[in-house]
Amino acid sequence: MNDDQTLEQALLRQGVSRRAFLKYCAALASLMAMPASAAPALAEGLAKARRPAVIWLSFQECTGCTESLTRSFYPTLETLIFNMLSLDYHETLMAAAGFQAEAAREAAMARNHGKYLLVVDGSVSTGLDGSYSTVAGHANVDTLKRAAQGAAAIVAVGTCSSFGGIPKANPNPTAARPVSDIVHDKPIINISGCPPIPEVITGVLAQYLTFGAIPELDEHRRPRIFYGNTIHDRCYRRPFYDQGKFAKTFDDEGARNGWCLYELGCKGPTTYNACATVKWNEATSFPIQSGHGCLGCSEPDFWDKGSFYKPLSTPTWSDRAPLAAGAVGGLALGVAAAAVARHRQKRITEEQ
Amino acid sequence: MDLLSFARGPALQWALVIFLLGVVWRLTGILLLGRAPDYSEPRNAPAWPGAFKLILTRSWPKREFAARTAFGETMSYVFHIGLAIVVLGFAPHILLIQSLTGLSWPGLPTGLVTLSAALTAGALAVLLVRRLMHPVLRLISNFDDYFSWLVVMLPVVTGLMATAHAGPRYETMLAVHILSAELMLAWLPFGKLMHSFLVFVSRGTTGALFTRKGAAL
Amino acid sequence: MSGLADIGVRIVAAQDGLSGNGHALIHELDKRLERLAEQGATDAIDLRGLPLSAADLQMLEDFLGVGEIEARIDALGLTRVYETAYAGIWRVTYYSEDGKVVADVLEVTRQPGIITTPPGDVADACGRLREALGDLPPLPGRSTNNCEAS
Repeated sequence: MNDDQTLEQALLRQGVSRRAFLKYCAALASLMAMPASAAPALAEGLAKARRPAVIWLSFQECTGCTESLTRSFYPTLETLIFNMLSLDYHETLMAAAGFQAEAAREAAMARNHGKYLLVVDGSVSTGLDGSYSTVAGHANVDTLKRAAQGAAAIVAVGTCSSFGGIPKANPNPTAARPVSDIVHDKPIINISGCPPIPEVITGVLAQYLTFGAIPELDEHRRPRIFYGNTIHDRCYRRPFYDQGKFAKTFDDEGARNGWCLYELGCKGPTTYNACATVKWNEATSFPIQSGHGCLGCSEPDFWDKGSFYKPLSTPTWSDRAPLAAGAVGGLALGVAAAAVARHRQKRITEEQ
Repeated sequence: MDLLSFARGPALQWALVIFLLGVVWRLTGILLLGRAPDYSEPRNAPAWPGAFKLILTRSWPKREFAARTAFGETMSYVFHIGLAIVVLGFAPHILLIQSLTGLSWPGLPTGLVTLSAALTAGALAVLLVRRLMHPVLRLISNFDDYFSWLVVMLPVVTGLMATAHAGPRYETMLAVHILSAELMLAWLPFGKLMHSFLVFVSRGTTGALFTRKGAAL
Repeated sequence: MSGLADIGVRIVAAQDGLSGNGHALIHELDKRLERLAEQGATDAIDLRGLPLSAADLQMLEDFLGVGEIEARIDALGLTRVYETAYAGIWRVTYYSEDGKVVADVLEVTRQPGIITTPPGDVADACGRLREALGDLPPLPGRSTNNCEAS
């Protein structure tokens, strides 16, 4: 692959016309919620962009993120890896295996040192010197540190690499950590979600490619363009929340009427993601539209924040024994206080 | 643990334990208190209807003082009723009460609750200004009055901010709101907020005593 | 045998009324068309970025009508371009290769960019034309044209 070619040159060589490219940019602008008038500028920027080498590392993960990525509707994964990026290493998607694959990664890292984009899915095990999760005899944590040295930026795809995810869930047996806990000296973009929305993964990669810079991030290092609003604020069921109309069970009148799922534990109000707008499976639906509350999968430690089915305003605990103990303790104190007071009263009366 | 999990978890549990312990302690302590024997001839018997009469009459301005107390009493009513609407009418609050007691009732629309909260906050602010400007009120006010005002005002203001997406991110604001309500719960038994349990007890006792003595209510 | 009949699903009719956003959009177009007429400023509105109901979109289509020109561009799937009855307002709908809408834009311009020949293509075409011309048997007594002269 010729990494010095601009994207336009590479596309033309593959028979993609300039008009097709312009069209692609219009679709990209629409996806990224940019004003439609920005499409020509986007095209100009993209045309001059150089295809960055991408090295994709998978650690403690379930491959759900890659599964999600392969379902990207626009840009499709094919467009992305054949036209826009040079995906030099991805264990699940590459044909090579074993020593050949490891050699390809080493070669790509050496050739593009300081310039490649490192994509990570899965959390990083740090327990027992990282030996809970290894690839080709190397602990994930060591592979990450080595690969991060030559990276221009790191994209953490999925909640596991962004925040630790399910491997980090209590009691975190493998001492799983997010990428940002291991690497401190490189820009990191988190694309959280379990899995993330496919168009969000490809959209962020395309955006990085277009502007050659890290997009504006929120306090959890997620691109604001996709993670700027809560699910609740963009939810089509929001008017029912405001009217006080709630489904009380999953099969009651309210559920059939499509009312708000807050009382069934929906975490939409505290979850930042694009599910309510970009949606899933070519904008077909998203969990709330399908009748189930949001689990909050794009938020840190979503697995350990209490039941998925308990409303946000209720306690995360259900043991009421401490409360009863408090009341009993109060009763004992009250009785004791009254007894002391009566005793003193009696003494004062007798003295008189 | 993030702030919201802390607020919904251990902080809520501790606040409720302190609240229950304090309220039960003070209520039993006061109710079991011995009374000095009264050997005088009662002017009226039984005395207990006077208890209810005083509870009612003292809930309304006395005609003689109406001109001077009407403003303060109106503001107090606005904030008490407003607060009741917010606490008992907002669906997420009802869910909290339901999760603790099993009791539930229909909620009110968010718009109405927000309006009530805004009126409550306004009335509370006016009452503080009145307390600071009124020479007598200022003289008889102590730390308890100001701190009790603060712990009631905080949940109202932070709740409004969370709803309006003002200040920090929503999940942080929500946690701050819950924590501020927990501060109020924990403080309630130990300061003047305890009047929420004692107001009718003390008023009724006074009423019964007055009736026995034959005083006009 | 199937228990599906017992599941009380209620089909709620989609809310397809006019939201008022279509009307707001027409006012917006009015302003932008004025700017095009007076200053030549072009603009574009992404229809999918706005909360438009099906009824809104239908109303918009009926209101804007169809003008004199329509084009279909075949590049990575179809793109349909037509000028509305109001000259200077174009509807550009981009489809993916499998026929799904990937962008739907109202452009306020004298000519949408997608129709205009990209400058790079002109240069490339010139080269290709010359190459093709070279393959033609030359007429006796004439020399070939030279692109670079222009």
